[in-house]
Amino acid sequence: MYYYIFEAPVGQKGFERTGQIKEQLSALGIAGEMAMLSGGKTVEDLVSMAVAKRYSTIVAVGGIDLINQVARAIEEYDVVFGIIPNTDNADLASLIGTSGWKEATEFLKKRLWRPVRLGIINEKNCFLTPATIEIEEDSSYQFLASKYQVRGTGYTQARITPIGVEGKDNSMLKVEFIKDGTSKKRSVLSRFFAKETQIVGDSCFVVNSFELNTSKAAKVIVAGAEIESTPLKCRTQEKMIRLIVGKTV
Amino acid sequence: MAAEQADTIVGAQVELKGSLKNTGPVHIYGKVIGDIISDGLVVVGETAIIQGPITAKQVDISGQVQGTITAKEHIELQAKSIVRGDLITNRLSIKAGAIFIGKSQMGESKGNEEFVEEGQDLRTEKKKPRLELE
Repeated sequence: MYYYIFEAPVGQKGFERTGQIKEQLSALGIAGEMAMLSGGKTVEDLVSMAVAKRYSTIVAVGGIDLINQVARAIEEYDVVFGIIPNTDNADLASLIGTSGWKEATEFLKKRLWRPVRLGIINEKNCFLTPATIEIEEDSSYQFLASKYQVRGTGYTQARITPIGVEGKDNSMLKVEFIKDGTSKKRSVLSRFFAKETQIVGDSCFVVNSFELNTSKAAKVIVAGAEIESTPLKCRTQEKMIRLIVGKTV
Repeated sequence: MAAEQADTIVGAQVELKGSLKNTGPVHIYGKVIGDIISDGLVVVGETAIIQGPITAKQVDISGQVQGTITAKEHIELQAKSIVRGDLITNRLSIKAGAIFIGKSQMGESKGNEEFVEEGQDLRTEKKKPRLELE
């Protein structure tokens, strides 16, 4: 039922963590087949093998890069997608409800899932975890959605996140324009008065698709790797993936 | 990436042209030329300048608006707000210092049927419009 694709462990701690995860999966009774990503086989090869063997759930065990690769590879198949993160990452926490590997294995046992769609940039680069765009501070940008256009200056980063939106078919993109690499923060006083401090310089739009132009070319980064540069077109993919999470929508 | 009523935010150094529609809340701190439609709350911050109509469930204004504002439940004009246009709502609050040039319609209005609950008989269950001046 479960096919696990492990990222090659790095260092002593990596090997220990891999061993702990395997033990935990056995203890939960969801051990399945485990494959290690190595020089011989690509993610696509392993996913094809899993599908040929009729595994219903394919699980990426590793960091953001592996997770995005597996998500892209399984999109064409009718399987459920699971994630066991090996890094403490806020994006992963918001994606599945935890950044902890142990809790993630328990999610796999419960098999609660929700539909998600990959974002795609310039019709070739897909992503599940957020893409960031590094904008020079003296550069201006033009953001074109279907029914409006936005112009702004003085932003240092744009961030694109595929999201699920209540009442819709889980196919939206949240696009944030952030000044100085900050986002919403809570002040000390707000902790006492339970009010969220709004940094009004930032912008946020929720769209199905958009174009982004900048006066100076800006790098587009996914999982730490530069994949594109502006100008770019971005939209959500048509096909949905069933992603195992901590709680459903 | 959990399902959410995502907020739309137009930051202070941003200019938006066109029709901005969101099922969730909308917060404006920059310039908008066009219409704004939300199923929830629209907040017009102190630095915001809006040229166009606003339609929402609730509208809270601290900046400048030129256009008709329609709110199913409530419109609130804060002390530093400047509004040129008509206000159509069920409940209106205007704080001291606010500048309002236009007409207000509450309770009975051309859009009144939008504020009536399904099956409600206006003849027997008419609600009194509430105007609060602070």
